[in-house]
Amino acid sequence: MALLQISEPGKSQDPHQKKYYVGIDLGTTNSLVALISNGFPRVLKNKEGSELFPSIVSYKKDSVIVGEYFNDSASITFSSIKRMIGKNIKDLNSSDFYSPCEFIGDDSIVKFKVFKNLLTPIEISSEILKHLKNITEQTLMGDIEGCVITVPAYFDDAQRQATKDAASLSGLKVLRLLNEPTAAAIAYGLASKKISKIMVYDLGGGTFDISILDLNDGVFKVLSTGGDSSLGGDDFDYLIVDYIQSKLDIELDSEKKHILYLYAKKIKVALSETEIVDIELEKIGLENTKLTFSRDDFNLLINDLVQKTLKISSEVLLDANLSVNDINEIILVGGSTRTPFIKYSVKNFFNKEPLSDINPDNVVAIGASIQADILSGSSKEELLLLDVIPLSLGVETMGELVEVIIPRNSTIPTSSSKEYTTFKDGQTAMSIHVIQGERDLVSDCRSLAKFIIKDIPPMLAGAARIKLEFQIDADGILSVSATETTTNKVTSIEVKPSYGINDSQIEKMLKDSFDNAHTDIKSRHLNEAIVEGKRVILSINSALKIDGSDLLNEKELKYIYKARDELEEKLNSGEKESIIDAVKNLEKVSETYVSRRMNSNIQKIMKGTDIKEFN
Amino acid sequence: MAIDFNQNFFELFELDYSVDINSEILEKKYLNFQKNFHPDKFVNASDYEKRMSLQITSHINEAYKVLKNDYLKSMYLLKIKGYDIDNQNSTISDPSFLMHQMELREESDEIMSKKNKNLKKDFFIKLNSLKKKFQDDFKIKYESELFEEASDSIKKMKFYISIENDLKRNG
Repeated sequence: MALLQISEPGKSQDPHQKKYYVGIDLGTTNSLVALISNGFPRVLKNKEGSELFPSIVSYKKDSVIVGEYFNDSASITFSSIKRMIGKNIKDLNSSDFYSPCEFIGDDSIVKFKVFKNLLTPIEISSEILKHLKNITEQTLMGDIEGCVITVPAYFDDAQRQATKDAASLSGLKVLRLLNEPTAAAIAYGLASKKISKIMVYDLGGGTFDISILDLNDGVFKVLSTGGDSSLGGDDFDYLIVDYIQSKLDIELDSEKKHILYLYAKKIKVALSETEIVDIELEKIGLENTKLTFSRDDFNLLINDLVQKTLKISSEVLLDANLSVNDINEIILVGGSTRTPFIKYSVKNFFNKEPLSDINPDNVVAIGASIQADILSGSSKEELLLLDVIPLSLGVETMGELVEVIIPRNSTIPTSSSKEYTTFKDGQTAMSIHVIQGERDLVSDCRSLAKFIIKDIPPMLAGAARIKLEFQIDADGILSVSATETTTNKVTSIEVKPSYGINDSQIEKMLKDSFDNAHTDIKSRHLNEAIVEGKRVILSINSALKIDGSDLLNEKELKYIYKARDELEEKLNSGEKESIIDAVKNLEKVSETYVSRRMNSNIQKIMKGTDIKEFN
Repeated sequence: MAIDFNQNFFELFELDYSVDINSEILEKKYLNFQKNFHPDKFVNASDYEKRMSLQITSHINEAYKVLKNDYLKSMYLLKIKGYDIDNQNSTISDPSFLMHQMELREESDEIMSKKNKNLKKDFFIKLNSLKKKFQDDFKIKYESELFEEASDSIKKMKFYISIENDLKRNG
């Protein structure tokens, strides 16, 4: 449909004053910008005519160049910086961490020594966004007024915050962070469907992500996500290289291997169109050898990896309590889904034709542009996105246990509060450790932040009331506040990305939480018993100190001491049952003492109180 | 822009005090609230409006979660009546139920170690029907205003839910 642009007389705007709302797909390998223009999505092209802007940042002594790879000694070049955003070195596995220069990595975010500057992944990412902003504003001859940036559905609080930080550094106003699979569903116009369960299968160059969305009357929810952060189309290329090497029975040097690798990409793409290709071995200096490679050969090669993606798909289904038949739509995202065998396998697995009409490289950016258009208020479309948090949030409690405050898959925005109390008499400070993850023990989860509430009025153990409030906003970013409710003392922190976990660790943490639930329960029960034991000992000791000798005779005291020491000994036994028994025994032995204490306390209160007040 | 934060969840959604709420009204109201108050509608609004929108939608999401879930809803109904089970000692003193608890725990441990999908599925069905029994029981007790007895039914439901969760997490 051709559209004539007609503007009302006098209303035609000066092009330089135009304001635009855009969607940005900030990808690991490539980034894209799209916007709604005259009611239709438009993906911006760079000067070479490509819609893909490589997410590569090259620093020279006095300049920064985005989108080109420089291998010379005068340049420091970063690629795949998205893998590092919002994480620290400790949390990065070797496949995700690559530094082209010296770096400083302590407990906080990694800093790269780029000439005279120390740069974080946030600043490096902001260069990509700055570049996209400049190109867009030049192309459109107007300003970007606001943008929607997409992030993987599993991105945690720190990664989302870091992405937002990068955007504000680049001078972009972020209207909303949008989950990539949700963007894909919006691009396909699925938002207009009444009720639907959507599976988004996203296989890019280096990462595989799968998400299940639940769509109900314009409301999107992410039901579950999974994936593999080191599985993608690049692996297919390596398999082709290995195949050729094994067929020729030769070992190639690294330079020839690289040539072959680049060629393998072309072979892969060609096989999406044709059934068989002749491999031009002249490229690697083999003039007289002939080798053909068919689509069947290729399919056989990648079968294991494809099966792996389907296995992850069924795990994600299980996680959402769904079966294959519950899925109404499947969307293919990412360049690697152009491979016919993948389309075929996905179709077979779900027993349904997947959606693949929109260019799988562009689909996320297009969805983001639609969302940006809606948020700008210029679209009439009614669309509401309700997202969920990918991992549970909680705090550390006694015995290094995690108490979940907001369970994963809670719809955001959400808030939740819990009350805690002091453990010792006169305790004036309390350390709050915010944890993210699904396991029962703190050491198995990720530490998000630590903060200290000070100036708690000294009271008896258990008298102070510390109310912790967790608030997660619509972008999935957390803030925590703590109040001592008897004095209304407030301390508040924004959880800043000082720690991080990477995608595969998230996946691993989720998986571990299932695999280890059994041992967790056991160690949890044991820890609980130990905590309880310690609490009982502490309270009996402090009570005895006050009035033990007043209320008890020597023999009675001896019994209690004996029971207490027995419990103390059992605490290290590692046996839940014997600790519980020892606690019970101590409680039983102290029964008379406890009731005498209560009586004596009541008498104390009664003393000096006019009897009238009790009437 | 405002909702009454002092209203309980049933008042907020204009629903009857019952386990069997009208889910059509619930869904409709929920969407309506979201369409009016979601932060997406306040992208270009003042900071105050943004903050209000955040608080309101958080509250609405919490209410919706409780009203969607039979167990949470039952607890909430009792809380309105002054029975706060969440902050109560939830021990069950009924000796025959304690026996039943132990047997179920053993059964669940065995299924966990066997990792047999069908066994697990059957066990979940069994747990569900047991839970349903106490859910129905709760309804009767609640409607007859026997709140102590109704609390007891919830505590028993809680046991099935915790055993279910433990097993679910075990894969």
